[in-house]
Amino acid sequence: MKSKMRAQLFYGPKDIRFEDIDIPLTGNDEVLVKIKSALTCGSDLKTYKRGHPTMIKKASVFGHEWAGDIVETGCEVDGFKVGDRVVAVNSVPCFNCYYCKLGRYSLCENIKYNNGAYAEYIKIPPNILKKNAYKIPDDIDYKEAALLEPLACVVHGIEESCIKAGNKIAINGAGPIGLMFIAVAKLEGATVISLDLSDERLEYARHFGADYTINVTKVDDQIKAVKSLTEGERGVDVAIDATGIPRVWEMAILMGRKGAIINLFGGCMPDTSINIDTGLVHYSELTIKGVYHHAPRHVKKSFDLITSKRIDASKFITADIPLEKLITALELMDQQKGIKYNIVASSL
Amino acid sequence: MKALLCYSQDEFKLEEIDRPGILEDEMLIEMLYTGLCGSDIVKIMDPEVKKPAVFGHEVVGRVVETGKNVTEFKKGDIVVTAHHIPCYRCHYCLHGNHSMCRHFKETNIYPGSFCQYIRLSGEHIKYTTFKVPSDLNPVEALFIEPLACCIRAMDRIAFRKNDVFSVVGTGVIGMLFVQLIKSSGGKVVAIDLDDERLSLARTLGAEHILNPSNKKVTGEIKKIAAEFIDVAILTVTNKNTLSDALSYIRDGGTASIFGASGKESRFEVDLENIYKRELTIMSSYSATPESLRRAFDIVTGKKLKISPLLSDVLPLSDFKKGLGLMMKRKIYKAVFKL
Repeated sequence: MKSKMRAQLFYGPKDIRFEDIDIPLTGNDEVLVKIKSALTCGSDLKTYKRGHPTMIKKASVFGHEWAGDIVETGCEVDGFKVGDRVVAVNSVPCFNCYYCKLGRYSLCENIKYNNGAYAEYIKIPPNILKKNAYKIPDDIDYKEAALLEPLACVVHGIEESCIKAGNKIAINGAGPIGLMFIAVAKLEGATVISLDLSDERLEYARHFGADYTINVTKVDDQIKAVKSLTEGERGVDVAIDATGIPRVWEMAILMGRKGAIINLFGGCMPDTSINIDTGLVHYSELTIKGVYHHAPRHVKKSFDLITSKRIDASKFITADIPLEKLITALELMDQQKGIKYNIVASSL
Repeated sequence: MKALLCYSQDEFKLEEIDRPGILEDEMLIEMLYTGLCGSDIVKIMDPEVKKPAVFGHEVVGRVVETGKNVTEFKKGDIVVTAHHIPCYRCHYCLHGNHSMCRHFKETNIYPGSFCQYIRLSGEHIKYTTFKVPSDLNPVEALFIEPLACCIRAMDRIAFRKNDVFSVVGTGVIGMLFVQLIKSSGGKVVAIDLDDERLSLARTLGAEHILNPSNKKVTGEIKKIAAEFIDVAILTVTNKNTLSDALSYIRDGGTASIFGASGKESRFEVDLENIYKRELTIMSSYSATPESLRRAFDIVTGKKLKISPLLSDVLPLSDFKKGLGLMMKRKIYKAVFKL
């Protein structure tokens, strides 16, 4: 087997280079995967535009939503073999630290991330392989399977939103994450109000099941617009932010009814803060929560949603773009065109 | 090495067997103390369990050899361990039913704890083994695994502060439950046939004690506990204790089956009673790494009184004597060393 591969490397904000690098060497308990599909994620766009605070260092591979074929397995690998179509998420908790013992796996202190989907090959480290990797059924495409990780985050977000059938909920933002929230919230029996500033995205939102859409550029007051869609203008049962914009976090809090759950899901720029009316939180008994990442149970549920086709993963993928044109895909995302792009390395 | 082989329910021999070898992820501990658990007695007494065998799973030991990949512990460390490990990826694990996991049921320490040296796998080292701090009597560390089983049982019950629990059976598990319930903000009615044990239960925090030898439990319990019984914890499970519990717990209450019931496990259920009164029959099996961690913190933090449950440590060669004392309820837990 050859020793070099093509990969997109992050050097700094707006500095991504397409280079030849070494194919990762796999240990006895690891497997090497030839990537057949890598999906763009909003956080990759954030990395491209402003760098990543912790995870993505200079001159490193990035991208973390992928599916592919196993081409090499270490001698101690159990349950996977060369030729298996496989998908895995980008991390695994240690199951051993204080937070894992509390069952708060997404807060694991020893979480190990696995990045590098924008390349020809990626290796799966042993614990991800053991706890957070799945074989892809024959009737599921690689690109559909590659939705596993972002959908797992959304499954976690939905779990924390405690939606009850019949609830009316507001989802701020109709980017890839917002749209997945809409699709899963519909499965939970919610009536969904989707807000965005792009008509194209709101069209997608309706497609994924939003009952109401609000183009925030076309209303004077989006909070009022949401409340007017609820009985007695009392506000929604659950308000979710999927934008990562502090001002929208503030508005999401104001969209809830008394006793509402406010799920501030979208990660904002570092060192930003929001203002909250303390009286409102107190007298309205609001539950305001942050949600990050996923735990293995969310990954399994995400896998079941995709493989049972209760979530049609293919509908989240707008187009195929070759690996060498990754920047084109990121620029399209920045212009809020399309949902997710399927980055494909040309077969060599 | 020396190992206690159980040939039948009353035949035990201390014999020489091969000392286990270890691989690079594993380690070998030398048993310092091992405890006899009720579940060991069930296995010893059950003619269908294959024998001869080395039983036992409650162990505190000293690390004597570590594989080259073991970084968490070093030679000389005093450690406590537990025997089952969930896979963390099967349907059961992902639903929080870790002790129903197939891997959980298959994993064990080798060859058992009633012997001189015990091999711990890499998974045991990672998930269920803890270093015993120097200020803790290592014998008390033997109570971490049983306490973890009690913690898991409490986790599975919906209860609130000031709820009243009956603890049926004041053996070692019952005494741990009494203290756990007290530290969780509950109240306790301890029930046993032994007045001496009941008096200890009271010392450990039980508000009420009840010896039902000559009385009907249901009537007595209503007399002594003015409040309702919200939860019955059955550390002794049989048709009488369960049927009593289902009659004396309040409407909407819970009966938790903790103890193994052995062969006589069938009992008639009054479905109408369960339906109309919204009763819950709950159960809990074994401990998980999560509850072990909390049990470790509780025991090493000295939050429970364990010393009243201790008796003289016996040599493993006196196993039969220890078994007899425990079965006759002369001691709470038989603890052995070599």
